[in-house]
Parts: sequence; structure tokens; C-alpha cells
Amino acid sequence: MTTPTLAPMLAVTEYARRVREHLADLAPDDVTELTEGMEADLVEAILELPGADPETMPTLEQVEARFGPPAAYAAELRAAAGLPSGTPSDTKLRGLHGLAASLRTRERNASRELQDRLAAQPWWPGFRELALTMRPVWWVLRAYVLAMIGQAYGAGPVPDSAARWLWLLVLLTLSVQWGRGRIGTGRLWSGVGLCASVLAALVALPVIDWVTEQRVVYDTYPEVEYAESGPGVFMDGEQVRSFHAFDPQGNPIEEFLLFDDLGRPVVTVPLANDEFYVGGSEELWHAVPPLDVYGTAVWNSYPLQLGRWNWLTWDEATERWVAVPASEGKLFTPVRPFERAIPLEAAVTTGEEEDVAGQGADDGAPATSDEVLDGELPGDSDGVATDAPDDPDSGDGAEPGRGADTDALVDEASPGSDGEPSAGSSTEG
Amino acid sequence: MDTTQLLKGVLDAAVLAVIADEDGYGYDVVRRLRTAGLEEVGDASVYGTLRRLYSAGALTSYVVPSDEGPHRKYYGINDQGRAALAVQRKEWREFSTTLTGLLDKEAAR
Repeated sequence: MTTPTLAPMLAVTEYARRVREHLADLAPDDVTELTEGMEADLVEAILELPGADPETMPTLEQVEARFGPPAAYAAELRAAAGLPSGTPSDTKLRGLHGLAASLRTRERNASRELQDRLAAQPWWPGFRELALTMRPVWWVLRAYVLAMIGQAYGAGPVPDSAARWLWLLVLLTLSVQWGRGRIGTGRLWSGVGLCASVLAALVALPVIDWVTEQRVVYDTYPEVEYAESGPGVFMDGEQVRSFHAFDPQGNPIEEFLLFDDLGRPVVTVPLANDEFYVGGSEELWHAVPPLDVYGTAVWNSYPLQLGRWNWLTWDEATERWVAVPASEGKLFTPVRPFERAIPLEAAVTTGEEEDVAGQGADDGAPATSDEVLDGELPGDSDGVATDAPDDPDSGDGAEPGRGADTDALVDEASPGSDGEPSAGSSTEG
Repeated sequence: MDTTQLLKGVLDAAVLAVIADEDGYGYDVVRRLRTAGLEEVGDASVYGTLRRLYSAGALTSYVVPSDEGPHRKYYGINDQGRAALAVQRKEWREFSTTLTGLLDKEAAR
């Protein structure tokens, strides 16, 4: 065996280094296996060239003249060893692009295997087409996720500054252009792009989770208020303060006790000390319940009686507010929303002998059912009794506005018009 | 005719045959192939082939230390390699017989 000297080793070492550089995307073990003893082989081959002098240092050009360019040599090694071919590149960033290329190579191998398996599935072609069509969604999501990294906690799903908006736009442009293959096709930038994509994929869920959590807080805040039904009676999420009842003829029932189907008293003032603001008044008002025959406060007696705080005193014995003697007459019952409800059909047709129109008849004469119904339906000149309940306009006649349409059914608006706040408006406030 | 293209298909058989004859290290195999007449065989092709055959289990390898030069990684053939070589020999014979017959018949016209 010829003894290699130091001289030819230098160019050979450099040549071998360049070859290994072109194999950098392979697993380190593969590179070692493939190029182990390469220098020795090269030196031996060089020394066998005609006219080779062991004492003369060959130039790199001479080495290349014998073995070809390092890139070609590396490609030949790969091809013969059955390893994937790399992309030729002259960039100096070997570590980064080596990593990216190695990732790409592994990804390529794995995805080829996966593709073969998937291609056998009947649903694959349609799914693949859909996924390809949806790729822009990922491009946008990727840019958004990256742009939102580092946004101040709780700042919400929208960029919180002009700078971040700008950053989002820049990332969007880059992401879409990269996705379309318009930029970053070089090794360095495809490595950067790959890293950014992996990062975006990793943090996408936490970011989206965080974003939706923000949105939930904003959206449900009012819902939480509505849903908080608590003690008392609620209708469409709003607390009911009092009830007004009407008999089948539509006449108000002055006082009544209300129970539910389980026999529980229906109480709109769950705590005796609950306060009301009435009709825009700055003053506090309290409910003042009547007593039953045993001297116990009855909280399900309606309509509710109200008293202003400075008219009242707390009665320990009955656990309720009671009017101080000087203010006894001042307690008031909130006015009804309307003085009469529309009578029931049965009540009108079977009660013709009674004054079913009651106080509603202006002329004071006994009213017939036809009169009542004519009054109730002013636009319907030949209205007959059987038409009335089916008429869509009269179906919701329990509304104040509807009832107030007709003189026949409406008395003076408010018995409480003696300077006291109108309870009609109190229910609004 | 571009013999490098032809060589690609039969390099495995050639390398196995050389090693079956006698163990050898990388450049040694190159040299013997060339001496045998395959002058256009590429160094890297031979090294890559050695590596692939070794990975496939057709070759064994061992390092021979050297006092005066670098240590050498020698390759030897094993049973699996011999079996592969036998198959390739048979295939080559059939193929070359077929092609020879075909080419000679064409030439005889």
C-alpha cells in the first residue's frame, strides 16, 4: 500500500468536506457510513494517477478533475446507495438548511408511504381535492396565529395596535405568497417558512382557545345577567314585580292571592326588605304586604302595595314594612296597565243578561255582546260575536296599546294621577 | 454505447463478484473493477453500492488497522450476498444470451 503523505491530504480533505456538505440533509449515520475512509480512498486514487508525485500537493482543481465536482460525486454516492437525492445548493447556512432539508426528506418519505396507503381509499380523491381547496384557510390562519403571538393578555382576538395590524398584513402577504410558491423557494427561506409553519401549528390551538375564551366572556356577560333568575318571578329574563288579574268578563280583580300549581305562594318580592325604584324616582320604595287573619304578612297578595321609604317603618313582629301612622293613606297600588281585558267568548255569549261591558259602556245602557264586539273592533262594521276571537288583531288584545284603541273598553287612564308616580312606568324602569 | 448506463444495471453483480473473489476496501474494489475492464466505473458509484449492499445484509465489514496509513474498512461477502450473486449470475446469463441472440440475428441478415 502506498503511504499517503500530508501534501495531497489537504486538497483531498477539502474535497471530502465539500462532498459531506452536499450530504448534510441525510442522517449523520448515513453520511458517516457513506464517506468513512473517503479521504484515504481519494488519496490512493490520486497517487495512482500517471505522473503523480507524493511530495507535490495537488490542487483542489486537480482532485476535481479526477473525481468530478463534489456535488456530482455526492449525487453519485446517493444514487448508488439508494438514498434520496438532495437539492443542490451553494448556501452557506448548512446547519439550518441541512435541518430543513432533512425534515423535508423525512417528510417526503413518510408522506409518500402515507399517500400510497391513502390513495387506496375510496374517499381519498374527494378529500384530497377539498383539502387542497382549503389550503388558503391554513395560510391565513398561519399568519393570524403568528401575528397574535405576544399580544397582551386579554387584549382580545383582534390586533390591539396599529403595529400589530401591520405585522398581520405583512405575515398574511408572506404566508399566502409562500403558500402559492411565489417566494421562499430557496433552501434558507423554505427552512424559515417550515419552522414558522410548525410553530403556527403548535400554538394554533392555544391561541384559538384563548381567542374564543375572550369571545365567550364578551358574549355571555349579558346572558349571564338574564339567566340569573334567582328568587322571585321572571318573565323573558326580566323580573316581575306585580300581577294584575281580570275576570272572564275582562273586569279587574281588585285583590287576589296567587299560588302556583304546587300550591306555593307566588312571591315577586323574595325578601321583605327588597327595594324598588319607581318611575324614575330617586327614592326607594318597598312592598307593603297585607296581613292574614293570623297576623302574618301575605306576600302573594296582588296587586302589590307600595310605600316610599320615608313613609314606612320596619315592623319586627311581622317582618315587613308598615306605613307610619302619618302616611297610612299614602300607600298606593300601582295602576293597572289597562282597566279591562278583552272578555272571553264564553263569558260574553252566555252572559247576555249581565252588563258584561260593565264600566266600559259610555252610554250606561246595558250592552249586548254585539255592541261590545263592535266597540272592540272599530274597523269591523259588521263584526259578529263568533268572529272576534279569530280575528288576528284582537288576539293579542291584552296589550295596553290594543286595549286603548277603543273608547268602549278604556276608562280614564290612571286612578293614580294625583301626583304619585305612575306604576305603569315603574314596571318599565 | 454509453457503458456507464449499462453498468448501472449490473454494478451490484459486479461488486458482489469482486468481493466474492476476495475481500476488499472501497478503492480496492474500484481498482479491481477497472482492472477487470470496467474502466468507466465511478468511484462514488462503487462506494454507494458497497454501502447499499452492506445495508441490505449482503456484505459483512471489518476494519483493518494500519500502522503506516489510515485504517481500512474491508468488505466481505456472506451467504446472503452469495445467494444474491447466484441469482444475478443466472439472470445475467439469460439476459445476455437473449440479447446476444437478438443482436447476432439482426447482424446476420
